[in-house]
Amino acid sequence: MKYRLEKIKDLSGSKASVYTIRFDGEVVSLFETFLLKHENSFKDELNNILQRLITIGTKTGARAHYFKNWEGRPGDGVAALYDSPNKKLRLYCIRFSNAIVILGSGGEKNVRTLQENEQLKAANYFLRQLSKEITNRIKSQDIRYINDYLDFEGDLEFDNHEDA
Amino acid sequence: MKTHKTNSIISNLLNNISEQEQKKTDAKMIIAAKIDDAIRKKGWKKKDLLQAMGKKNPSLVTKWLSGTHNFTMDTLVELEDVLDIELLNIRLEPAITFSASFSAESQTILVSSFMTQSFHA
Repeated sequence: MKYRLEKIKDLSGSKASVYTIRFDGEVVSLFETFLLKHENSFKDELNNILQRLITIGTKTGARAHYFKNWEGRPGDGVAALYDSPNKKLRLYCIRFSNAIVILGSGGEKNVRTLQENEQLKAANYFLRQLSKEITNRIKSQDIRYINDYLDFEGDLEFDNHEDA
Repeated sequence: MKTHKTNSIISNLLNNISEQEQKKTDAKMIIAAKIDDAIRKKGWKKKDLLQAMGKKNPSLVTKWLSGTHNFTMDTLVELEDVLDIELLNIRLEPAITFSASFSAESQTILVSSFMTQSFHA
């Protein structure tokens, strides 16, 4: 299934750009799907995550200490954004730097390891693969940083079959 | 790069966030950033901050740096001291007060000013 990176203008600013993933043919992005799925059961948590993303985009950048890091393979930047360290809602993302974050999906972490929850595992492992592919394209210069490392340009379309 | 100008789901949720709520989140995250910068400037690790604060629980520093923590005044003052930074912007500012008096003899109005101590947060 083909998908592309899409910048979320409402959450991006002078300190960081926030991207989501848009699958071909889908009306809503992956992040919007996450919001819709949890807006009733985790309303306050989502509210807080959105506020944190606004601060990240406009005031502070995506500083590492705002995230639960090392949620993927070593060095791949897969991390989790949360509203509070003790709370259970996890939004997996790829933190490329202080200036670029790609939001994925996630859910309630009510298990000890994410591998014990199929939904969390799928969301996390998808980003691991995406991070690997983006990194390869940066090395081959098919993807480049622009605007003082605030944005990506280049080949930002992917295919799930290709990446698997 | 395609961007969707009308991310209505996100926009609708953002419209429900009040200015004050956002200010509170900004404040917590900026304080966390200032603490992190100060730790790095001192060449400290998290455990050094913990030790300087006389605390033992390592998860405390993670909490402080998360950008979600609601600090007490006491903790902020202690962090200011150990990290040599300013987290609270409290100043005693002198205020200028004007007074006017009328002199019947000289038929003049005398205006004078004097400094008073006022508290401005």
